[in-house]
Amino acid sequence: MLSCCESYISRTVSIAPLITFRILFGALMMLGTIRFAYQGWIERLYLEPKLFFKFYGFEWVQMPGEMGMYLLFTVAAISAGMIMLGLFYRLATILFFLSFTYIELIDATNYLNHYYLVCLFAFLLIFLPAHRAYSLDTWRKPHLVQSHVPAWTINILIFQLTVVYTCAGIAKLNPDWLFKAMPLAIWLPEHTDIPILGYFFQFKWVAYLFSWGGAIYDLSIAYFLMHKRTRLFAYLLVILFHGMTYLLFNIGLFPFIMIFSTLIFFPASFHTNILRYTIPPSFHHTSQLTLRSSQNYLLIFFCLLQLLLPFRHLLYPGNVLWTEEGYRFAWRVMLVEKNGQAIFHIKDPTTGRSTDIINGQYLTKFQEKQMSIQPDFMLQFAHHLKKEYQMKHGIEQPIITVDAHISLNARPSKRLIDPNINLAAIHDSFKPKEWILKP
Amino acid sequence: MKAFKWYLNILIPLILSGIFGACDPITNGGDQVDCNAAFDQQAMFQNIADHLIIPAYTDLQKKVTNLVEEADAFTAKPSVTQLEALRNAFETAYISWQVASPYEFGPAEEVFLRNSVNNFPLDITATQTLIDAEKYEFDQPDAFNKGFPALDYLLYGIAEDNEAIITKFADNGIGKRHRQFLLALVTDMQQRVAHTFNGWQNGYRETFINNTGKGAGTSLSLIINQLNQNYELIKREKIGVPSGAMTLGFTYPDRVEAPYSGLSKILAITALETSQKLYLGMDHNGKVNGLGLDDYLEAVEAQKEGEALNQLIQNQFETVLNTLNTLPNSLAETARNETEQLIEVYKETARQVLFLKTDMPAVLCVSITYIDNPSDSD
Repeated sequence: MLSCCESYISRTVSIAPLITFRILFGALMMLGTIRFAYQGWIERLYLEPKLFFKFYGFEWVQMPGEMGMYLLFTVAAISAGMIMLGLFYRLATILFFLSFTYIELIDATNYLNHYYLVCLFAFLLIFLPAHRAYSLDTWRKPHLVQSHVPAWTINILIFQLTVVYTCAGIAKLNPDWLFKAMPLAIWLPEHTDIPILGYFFQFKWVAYLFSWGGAIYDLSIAYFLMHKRTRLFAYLLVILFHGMTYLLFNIGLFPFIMIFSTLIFFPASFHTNILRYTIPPSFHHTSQLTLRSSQNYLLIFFCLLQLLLPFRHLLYPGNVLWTEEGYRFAWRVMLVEKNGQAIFHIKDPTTGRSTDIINGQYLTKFQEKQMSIQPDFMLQFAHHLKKEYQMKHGIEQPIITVDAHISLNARPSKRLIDPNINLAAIHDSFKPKEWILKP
Repeated sequence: MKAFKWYLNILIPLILSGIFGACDPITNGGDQVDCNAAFDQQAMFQNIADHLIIPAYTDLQKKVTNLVEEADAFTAKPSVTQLEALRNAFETAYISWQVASPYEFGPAEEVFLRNSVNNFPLDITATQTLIDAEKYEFDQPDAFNKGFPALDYLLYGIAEDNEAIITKFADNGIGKRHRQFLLALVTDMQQRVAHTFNGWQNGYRETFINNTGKGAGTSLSLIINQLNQNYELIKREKIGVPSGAMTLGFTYPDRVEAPYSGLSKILAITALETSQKLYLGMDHNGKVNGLGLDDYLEAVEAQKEGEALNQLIQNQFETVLNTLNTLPNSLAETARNETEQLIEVYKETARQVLFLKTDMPAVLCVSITYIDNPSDSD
């Protein structure tokens, strides 16, 4: 390791921040999973749909049936609870990561950046010694207790959060966000019924204020959290900012995930103070973990991936907000108000017969809405139709085209997909989708 | 300050790349309009309430009451004369319904008015099951065994000719069941219409007019959503399905609206004219042209590809109505014999959907809320 990085990686620091993180993350994930089931979303999002959209490369992930779905959520909830308690920690983190990630992979329709963040945190926790204090594991096996850990175990979480905020901030640096206050100029006036604050949402300058404020916040908050002098003020901003988004938008647990996880920026003394008042200390002796070289490479690989993945859209022509190539896994949050319409046509080249598709016969309304704005979903849907018409109607080589128009950030709609292209003959890949028209 | 430098060294290149990455301009369709431009929403709602919605329910209430009276008279003494009178009442009430159909919110939504009076095509087996079981409950919004489509069947299609139809209502066995079913059916329709009409008389008008804003559940969002839902039903059920446009060209003439009475064409025309008038804020007789969605689009100066969106929508309504009016026969006949013509009507109807459902809500900054979001977002 380079010496300049020594203090970020192998220096020994108190385990306390990691403990707070583990307990809060586990508790929040347990609640989140239970809330999801309680809202009836397992039925609506996984049992009602007849087909699912897939992430590229994960087409093999299947919906495991009703029992299977409830089992997956039960495993996720229990393992999250075990993470919170620090019980069979390694097993619990692996189970939580696998079950939660599997659920997310079943239907790409439900992709949310904060679910992705949960997957990443869960993955990291597998390798972090967050159960080495204040845990049932250390109660079972006191020799596991450890009061200090290498700095990388905490810094990797700080790094992850910094990437999230910074990329979200960079994504906001686009003309619509900065110079048109879009889409906040659409969304804020919908909330004029909120007491006091709502009055201001009718004014355009407030949308600009929120847009610029949001961009500056995202770009700088991690830095202000890193610094001792600004930390408390920055944390108040964190609470204010995410509290506001909670009030205005239907974004579920995300504000709480951020408010809780940014506590990791606070020094060990802060965390030991909290912990001392809640659970009796169990710091018996000091030991320390060293980084194995395999972990070393994994760590480097993980960090590189996190730094590069959000910028892969630069490899594709066109505006990512329009093409959505490289849109996911890049912390593009709340950037667009999009609605669209996609009407599929199928033609039998041998008989000349043709037909329009009623999307609702195959998709839930929510899936249809998501499909109408995402080209890769349209391609997947076209391939599903191809199979359907081959099997049910005996059309060997159906020609499938789409009239797809989308409206982006309050503009009138424009055609998104080349209407002459036969989607049945196209296969998805990482290559640029040339059948997406220029905006 | 070490951490600060480290942070800046990484941040600045990232920001630059972000800016360049997002620089490719989006000019689709036209520029953004100021969707928050000044417009008197309340005045528009008032016009729509007083000149469109309330008159539509007033008329429907009258026609449905007349329908109940004629059904009473017919069941008291079934005869050809009474059957003709009842059919007349049915026809005028069915046409009147088309004028009231787009307003499925507030009181109408409470009684599932649209589903209750006009789910078609009729499921004859399910209807017959109700009749045989002497069960006269119509509380299932998803069932296709009631409303005008059931009347269409009972009064025109249940037997070959008028004499045979009357026989179906005559005796004290099957005839009695049919009479009871008929009365229960029209009474149920009347009650739901009365509930809706009374709701608008007793406070909902004021609620509707004062419910300004753009969010889900505001009157603007209700009007636009329901205009679209109703329009999609016209496109798909009234025209698309019979034409075979969604079934590889295999036509379904018997799935038109009102297949037995042959009213499909006049019903479709009335429904489309109603959509047009709701858009324009024009009353049913064409006498008042008050504030409507057309004026709203003009107020925000919505342009699409160099043309005024309002003009595009108005032209398209004219085109759709013209192609529909020129059809020589009922929609069922057209589906059988001039399929291409009906498909042409379908295509013109579909063209309007993009303007009404995607463009209009976008430039007015109203979300299509009938796709309710069963999830969080981010």
